[in-house]
Amino acid sequence: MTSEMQATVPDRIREFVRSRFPLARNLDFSDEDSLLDAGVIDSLGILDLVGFLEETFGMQASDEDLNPENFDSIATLTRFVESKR
Amino acid sequence: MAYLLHHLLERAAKARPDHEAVVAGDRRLDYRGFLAAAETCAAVLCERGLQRRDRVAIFLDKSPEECAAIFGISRAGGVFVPVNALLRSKQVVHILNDCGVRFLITNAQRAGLLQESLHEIPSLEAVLLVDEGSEDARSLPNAFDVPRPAPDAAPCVGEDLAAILYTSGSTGHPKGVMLSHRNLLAGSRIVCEYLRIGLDERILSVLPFSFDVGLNQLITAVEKAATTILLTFRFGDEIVRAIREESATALAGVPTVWAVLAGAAPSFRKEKLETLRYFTNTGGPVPTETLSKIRQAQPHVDFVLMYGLTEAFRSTYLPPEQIDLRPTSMGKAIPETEIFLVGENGERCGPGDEGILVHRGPTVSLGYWNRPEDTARVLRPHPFIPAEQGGELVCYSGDKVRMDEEGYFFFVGRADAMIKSSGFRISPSEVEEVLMSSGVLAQAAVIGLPDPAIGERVHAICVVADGQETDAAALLAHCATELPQHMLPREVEFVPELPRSPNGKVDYKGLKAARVERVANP
Repeated sequence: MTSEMQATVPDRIREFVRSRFPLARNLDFSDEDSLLDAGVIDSLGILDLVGFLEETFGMQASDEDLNPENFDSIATLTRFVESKR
Repeated sequence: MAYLLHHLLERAAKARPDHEAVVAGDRRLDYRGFLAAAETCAAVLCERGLQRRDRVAIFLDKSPEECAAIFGISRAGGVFVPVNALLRSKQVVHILNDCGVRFLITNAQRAGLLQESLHEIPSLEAVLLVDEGSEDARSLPNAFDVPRPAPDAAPCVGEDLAAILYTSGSTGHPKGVMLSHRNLLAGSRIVCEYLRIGLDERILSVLPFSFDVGLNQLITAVEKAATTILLTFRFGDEIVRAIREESATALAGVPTVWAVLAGAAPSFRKEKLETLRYFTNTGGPVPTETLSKIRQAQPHVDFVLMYGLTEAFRSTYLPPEQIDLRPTSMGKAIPETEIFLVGENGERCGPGDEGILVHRGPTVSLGYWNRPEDTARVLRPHPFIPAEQGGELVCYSGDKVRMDEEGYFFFVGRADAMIKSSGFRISPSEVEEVLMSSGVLAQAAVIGLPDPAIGERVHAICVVADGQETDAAALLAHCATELPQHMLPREVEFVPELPRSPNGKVDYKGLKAARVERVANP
């Protein structure tokens, strides 16, 4: 088993968020903190995040999934991904 | 007669006092209320001693207060400087210092972000807050809460400076483009004409007022006493909901907006947005695939492709009936305006030739604030009509463009290293400067690489200094403290050294060409 496969869902989401939105790294985010309220993720960032989730977790985000409830924090993103598996 | 910006608002309030002027969520302002708010703002500024030509910066989220401030500053005889709400304090301080602002209109939260930097702006006399705020020596909470009668009219003329819009070039820090009242009114009149903006227009405004197109939307709406709907969005469906709930008739976007609507706004494809009449795009080309998705989803809506640069406000538009014939064209000259191409040897280009786009007309700006040399590069004497025979200053865009037999223009590329990403102009040197301030690099070069969603993406090529260690994540984290998201490199690459051109300068063209090639043939 490679190390990449051992990484948990929140690990991989956290890693992506930190690399794509470096501000999150500086703000020392917890998994529960709102990325949207802090202005870490903009509209284009949502688009990239959807692409990342679909590609990484082999899931398909449906129409109703693209809402602030699912995209608010690392924790809500994790629950969203797990609900899709 | 309307010859100053606020005259448009006064006229609208007289003609349609009860008509909805500005909508922001649950808040609604009619023209009577809009004018009263602008006049209160003007009165407060005059009480504080504002003089004709004084600069007043506005650093606010899209809001009725921001709209009132724009017209209020004009009413007081001042010059408004809208600052993009996305900027970090470093850039805000640069702008406020560069044009020596006397007053800043903002809110408590944003004033808090700037708190530590305000002492770096010696010209700043007072911070006028639109809401409550902490008692800083220079800040005035609830500055505009008590309605005031309009002050005496300032003795301005149409040639007076009305606004300074900051924008980036290929080098250095953002420069302030000076627009006169006459420029703003001409821009509004011209756009109203070719978009056939009417009295019952309901314009959805998602672009910032620090961007000429966003500002122009507001002015055209006021010119027609029509309605502006303000929206800050992150999810595409928020745009769709606003169009539906507010019966919007028009939406102006940059490529990012269309990428979001085409790719992450499910309701956009599902329902016909009956009230919508037109979309406009500016700030870079829309990828063909995105454009066809948008048009398929809402086939009854006209899509108008436009091109312009802040220095000349707006240059070309593609009439919607041409979009199937020339989907990659920038269109033809806007009304009242002449657009021509000048070749390398200064000759006028014919059809098929490539040249620099030159703009002649009433929206040519007054140049860059306090930068005569930069201004002289962009605003030059008419190349074919001598000044003594009536030739005036025209605007050289720096964009390489081709024209077809029927006079339609096609974008070829930039003549310099400026990057255009998500509708923003980004100066490579500004990003490089922040990278270098990390203290661990010997050199940095920043280029734009083609990106289907955002036009170009920022790409950094770095040389680590001797004895230093770093990685991409650490550098990006450093940049994120100083730069807004749209200026951050999407990728950081490390090389042993940067290639030089024969004259000893970093070979940007070579760096870019090698990487574009690598993307095309991996």
